[in-house]
Amino acid sequence: MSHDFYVDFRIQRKEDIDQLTSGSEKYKELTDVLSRIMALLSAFEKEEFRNYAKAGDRKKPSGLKSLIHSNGNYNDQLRYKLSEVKLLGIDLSIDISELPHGSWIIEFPIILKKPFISKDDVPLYIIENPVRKDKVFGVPFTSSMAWKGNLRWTMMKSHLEPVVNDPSKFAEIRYQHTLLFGTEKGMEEMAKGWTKYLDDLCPNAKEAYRSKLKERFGKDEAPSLTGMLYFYPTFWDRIDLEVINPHDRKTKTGKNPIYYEVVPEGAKGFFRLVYLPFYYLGEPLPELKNKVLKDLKDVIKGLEEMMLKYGFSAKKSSGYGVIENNWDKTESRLIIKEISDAHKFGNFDELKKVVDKIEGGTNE
Amino acid sequence: MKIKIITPIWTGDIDLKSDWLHSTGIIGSLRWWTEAILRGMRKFACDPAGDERCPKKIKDEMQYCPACLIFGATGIRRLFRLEISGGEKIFDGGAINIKPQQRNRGWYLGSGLKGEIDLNIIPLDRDFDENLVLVPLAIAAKWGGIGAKTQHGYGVVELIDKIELRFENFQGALDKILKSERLRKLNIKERNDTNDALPNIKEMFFAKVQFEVQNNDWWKEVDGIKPVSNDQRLEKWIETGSVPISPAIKNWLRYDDGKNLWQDMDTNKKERKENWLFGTTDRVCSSCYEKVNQDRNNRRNFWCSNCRKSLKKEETFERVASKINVSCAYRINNTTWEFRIWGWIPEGFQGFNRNNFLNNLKQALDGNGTRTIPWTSLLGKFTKNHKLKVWREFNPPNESVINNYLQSLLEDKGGS
Ligand SMILES: [Zn+2]
Ligand SMILES: [Zn+2]
Repeated sequence: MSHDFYVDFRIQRKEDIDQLTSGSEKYKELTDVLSRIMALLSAFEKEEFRNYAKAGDRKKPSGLKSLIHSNGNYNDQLRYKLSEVKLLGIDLSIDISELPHGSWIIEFPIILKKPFISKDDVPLYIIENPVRKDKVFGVPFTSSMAWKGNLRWTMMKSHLEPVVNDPSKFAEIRYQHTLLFGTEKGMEEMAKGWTKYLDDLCPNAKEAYRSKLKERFGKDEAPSLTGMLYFYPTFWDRIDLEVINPHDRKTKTGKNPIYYEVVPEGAKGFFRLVYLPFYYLGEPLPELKNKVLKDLKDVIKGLEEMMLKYGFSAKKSSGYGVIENNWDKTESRLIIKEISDAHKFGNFDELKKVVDKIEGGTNE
Repeated sequence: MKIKIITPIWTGDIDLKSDWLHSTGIIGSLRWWTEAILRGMRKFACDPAGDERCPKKIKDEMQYCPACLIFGATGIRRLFRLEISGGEKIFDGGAINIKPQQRNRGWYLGSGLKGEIDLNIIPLDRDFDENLVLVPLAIAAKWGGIGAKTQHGYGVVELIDKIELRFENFQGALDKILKSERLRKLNIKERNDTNDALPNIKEMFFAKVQFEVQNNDWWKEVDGIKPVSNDQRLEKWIETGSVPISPAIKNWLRYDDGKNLWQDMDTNKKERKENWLFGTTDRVCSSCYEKVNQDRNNRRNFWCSNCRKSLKKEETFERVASKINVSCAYRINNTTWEFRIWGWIPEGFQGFNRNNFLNNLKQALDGNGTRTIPWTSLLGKFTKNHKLKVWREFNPPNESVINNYLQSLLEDKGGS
């Protein structure tokens, strides 16, 4: 956006905020809601308007609250933007034909049971907590990196933590996770990094883990390897605004409400995960099949815990970002190249049953 | 874990309603209780809404208070995830105005939530122990309230699964997360600071009052309710088994003869004490609670005529909530009802004698002081046998150890 954009649409009076919100007067040409939201920013420097630009006042909602919450303008536009995304082939099912033996794909629609926050990294916005939006379309989305980070964290919780007293098992699972997710980097929410965190979690497994890496890659530290799991972004079809009102401890009244953009309860997106067993290629088929199915089952267990229990929000602890364990079966798909044809499932239990069936060899 | 809502709960949303349960509102008040307990234990707990909140960076060291170590702050994640569901709104439409006689403004009562809450605590950290959450929750449930607007009568709850809680388990759980080895691994330090003028359980009082009713329509005679007793919204509220008596009691205490319990001879200071104790919607001076107006010599500032000082915005309070919470009345059995009156009354507000006030209040509730409460004009002619069921406050000469006091608050004694 040009510098002129902000000059032309600069907010100088309170009425400008109302006109910007409704897209009238000089703001008529700003038909795109996201542009109007960006234009709201010029109210930020004016302390007297700042809060009004966020939410209006007690009598009348205005500013961001109107655009996102009260009038639902943004959601109307989202529907249109999402169809554009589809037209460009960005959010589509994955073609499996080129994938190697044993590759698998899990796809299913997800519906949020609790709102979801994913903090955007835009430098400037009218509130401190915008939801992460795709740069081109302004559609709220969960990035593939976020999916990967959250699933890795959840699998650490559900697979590694329970075996901290069994170092050889710990090392084995940690090694499996390294093959699945790749180098232990990018999990920087842990104070000293992910590797250090896992080393400390079970110090006695450190050596065994390193020697497995050495055996496989010839080095103590994992080379900067990619994992076998490929994540896809999820585009959401709704956005909303919420507020937390921290209470001043001395006056017991709310002050400086904190606004959060969220993807609200009931919003729908699509989850897609692809697995390419390239560290197992060349192994005899029965062995390949065993390893592939073991990974599949472990990943499904992780997915289930992430999606139903721990959530996948940037603010994991706020009770945000879990899904309904029930979706449109016809929109789902599990397919394992050369091992199983496509299966459908409407919840996690059905998904697990499908895998058991495949494992039992009663494929079709 | 199930929680029964005894008097409607308020969590508040962006439209200033409380149509559904917001976990953030519940977590916020759980944190408030945890802080008050920690401060009672002489631990530092920061004001998370204030400028001095954690982390405090000293040289290269990040310091967090124990409350932030439990509930999270910038740079550290909360130790648990709280999954909350349930609760349904009581009525549709706007707030009911309850206006005791002789008042022209009255109190506004918005719907709130009734029913049951499902609460699921999911540990996110290996060192987390449920007692860190359950003990403060149990104390809040037993003696105060959770959620917002407890000063208006919202938020009395009951934990349905009767688990026996011990304060020493809270202490143990706290020691575990404060272990120096653990903090060193996280590369942080425990913050020790001063808790000046922040809510402290040592400075709180808790009372429960019971009374008998002669019929089921007794509530129609409560001061302030009579004019709206046919309002369907109010009838829906009453069906939840609670009666909003807080306006009646607070009106008496603040404007009527109840004034005698807190007012001293020096009536000059009346307004300020009143703002401090019962709250105000005016902007007031943050040190003396005098109402302030725009400073004519410096339009960005405010003038306190008492301190004779020009104050920056940050040196004023925009609004102040009441320090005294009066719950709705709730049913104990067929004919017995109960309500709570509780709050945090710190020492040291100029011109206010804390001890006198609490003694006067206790005696008045108990009916054995020189000042009596005109119960039947406040709660209606179909109520009788009003009596103070239990009064609790930290009393150093008898209960020198705060842990014993907190343990006693967890035990089942007195009232519901
Ligand atoms: Zn803190
Ligand atoms: Zn003053």
